Amino acid sequence: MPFYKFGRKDILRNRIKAYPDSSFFIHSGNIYYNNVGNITGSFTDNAGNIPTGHISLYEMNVDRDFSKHTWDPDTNVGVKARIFPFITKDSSLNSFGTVSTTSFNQFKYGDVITGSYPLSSSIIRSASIENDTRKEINALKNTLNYYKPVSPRYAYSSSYGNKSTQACNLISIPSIFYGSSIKTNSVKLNFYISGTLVATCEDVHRNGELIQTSGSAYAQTNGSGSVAGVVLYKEGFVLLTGSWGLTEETFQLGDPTPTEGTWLDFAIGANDGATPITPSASFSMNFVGTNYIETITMLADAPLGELNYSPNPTFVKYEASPNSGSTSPAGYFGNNYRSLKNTNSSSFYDYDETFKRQTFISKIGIYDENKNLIAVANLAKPVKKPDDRDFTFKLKLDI
Amino acid sequence: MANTFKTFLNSDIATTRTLLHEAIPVTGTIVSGTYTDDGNIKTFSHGMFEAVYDYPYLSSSANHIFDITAGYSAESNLSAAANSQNAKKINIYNQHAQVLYGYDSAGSIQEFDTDGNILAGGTKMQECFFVNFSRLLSKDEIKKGSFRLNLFTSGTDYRNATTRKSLKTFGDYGAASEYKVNSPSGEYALLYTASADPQGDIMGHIYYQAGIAVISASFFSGSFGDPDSEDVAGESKNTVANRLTGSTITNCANAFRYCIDNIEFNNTTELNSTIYFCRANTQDYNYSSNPTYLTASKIRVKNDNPKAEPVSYITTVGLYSADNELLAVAKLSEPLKKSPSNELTLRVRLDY
Repeated sequence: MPFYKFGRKDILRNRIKAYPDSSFFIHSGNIYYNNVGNITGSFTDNAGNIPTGHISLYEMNVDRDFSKHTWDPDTNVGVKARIFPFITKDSSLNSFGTVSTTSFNQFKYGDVITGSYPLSSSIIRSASIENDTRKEINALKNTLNYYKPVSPRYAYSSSYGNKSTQACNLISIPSIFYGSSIKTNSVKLNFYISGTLVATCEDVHRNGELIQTSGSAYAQTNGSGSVAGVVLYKEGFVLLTGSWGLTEETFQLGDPTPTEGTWLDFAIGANDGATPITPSASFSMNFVGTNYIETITMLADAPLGELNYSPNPTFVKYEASPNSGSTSPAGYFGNNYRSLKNTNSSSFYDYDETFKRQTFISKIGIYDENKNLIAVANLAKPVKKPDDRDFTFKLKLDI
Repeated sequence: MANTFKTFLNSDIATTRTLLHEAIPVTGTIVSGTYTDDGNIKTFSHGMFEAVYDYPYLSSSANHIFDITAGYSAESNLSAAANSQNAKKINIYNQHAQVLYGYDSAGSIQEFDTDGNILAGGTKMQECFFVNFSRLLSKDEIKKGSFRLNLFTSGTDYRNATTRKSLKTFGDYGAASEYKVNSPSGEYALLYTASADPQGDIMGHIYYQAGIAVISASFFSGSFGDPDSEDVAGESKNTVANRLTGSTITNCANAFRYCIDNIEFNNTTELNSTIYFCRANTQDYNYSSNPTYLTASKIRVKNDNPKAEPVSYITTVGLYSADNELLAVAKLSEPLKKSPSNELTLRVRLDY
């Protein structure tokens, strides 16, 4: 089997930039991702076994009835009705991220530590009233200050407000929804009351500022063109601070005392445990993510006059006794020559075409510098390679 | 950016391997066609196997569980040119046999030996059903001693809900310590019908790394039918032998599928780790180049006490290549105080 070394121009590395759309709709404590609701299965009411608005990481345990799972890891008795990971505690001290150090220390060596599937992810809203403690926002202090040159609105503390004390509404977006970063000028927040659009804000200036662009007359009077908050594109956070009234009437938006709706109430019910929410308030958040797909393209040449031999046994002509040789006192001597099979087809009936060397290329192996086979490209159908033709195979690998 | 580097000694680096397992139960209700209308069973025009999913396969949520196919050896008594898909059934058998059992010294494909003792000869499994588990479920390998298959020996007309008979459990009992290694595709064990000695009949093989179960057709007795097939011609005619000769591979696979009550096994994933023991000896790392370490030319953490011993707080460990290129960063959950009066060993684990 011949080996060819890739030349400098034979390997091309590219990066595909993809922009996946994401849409979240929050209504009455439920989240809907890309407008997908609950899917009913044959065995469960919720086929994915995850709440709406969540992404299942491995999509394990689809449509399985968890109530039938009675297996106990301590006694190894019961019915296993769902897929779950487990690990035996040993000196490597490996465990699952969901097992706390305290719990881990309570296991004896040899004990089985179990995890659970599915693992899921969704947006989380975290609201802080004025002078409330806010560990999530405090943790973002350096990050917010880092973006001050982009917009002064990012500053943790400035004339626009002090984020350590002012009322804030932080929406965390896990990176599984957007990839490497959220695309600038793609974030759009809509605030609805009883199905009527009250206000919209967008990052129209591409600098992370969420500016109220449209809405009801009352909301526009109070905050048209005002900055309602900022977006941390790479980190996946939306931080809202706009406290002007968006609704003339007052509503119970997470607080028993009715108040005017503001951007601080945006996405209420999004995994924040807030109740009550009356009347029907709903919110939509749309953005576009940025996802990079690394690709490597390799051009494998099959040159003229080469690759005209195959070690495949079918390459040589079938003979009744192919290995018959001669035996003498000096040893066994095999035949020096074997005839190659003529695979050239003739256009004429019952006529053998003149022999020409040709092979059929069916796969290409990629080897590392130590000649370890690291990848195999199979052709959809074998390609005929006569002596007088050359080919270039384009192999593309997404990483 | 660090300005103090320490070179690892051989004794500072250790490699470990951890085995992570998943318990995989596959209930017969999934396998036997719960999603008849939507379809979690995928068949192909070539008719050589059928694929089973855990959910209608057109859904993005569906996971491929396994493929089922059937075949027999060219030497089998069932083999005949007039059989339905005769060549394909022989090819299926040969393909599995050559991958899982290899060739003999004469260059011929070896048939599956029932007790796995090829040298001693003995009975062969010449008519088999093959269950190829998806890599998603079997991962690196199936855990030895964990495979259990609950199968009815008779399963005609499952849709009438009453005719499946004689449920038996067979598994790779005792395989955690005793398994075969004479397969070119890794380790395998025998599937017995009972766990205690004597271990009952051998009804197949489970190939751990390949993730393939080979079930002998001799397990089935009485009727063996495919309710979806139109060629059911009475229970007495629907023996496994008649199915293997007169029906397509898809029909055989369907009949096998309706006999499955439960499948359960544990898979194994190998997690390889390298552990770097980063040792901060008494005289090491007691000073920081961080700009915040000093204030007004005084070391901030010494509280303006020039006589106090030097002190620093370790927050991050950087692993560098021989060319001083930063390769990996380990963050501590909380800073560790370091002074000449203490020594620290930080255990950095890299999983891959």
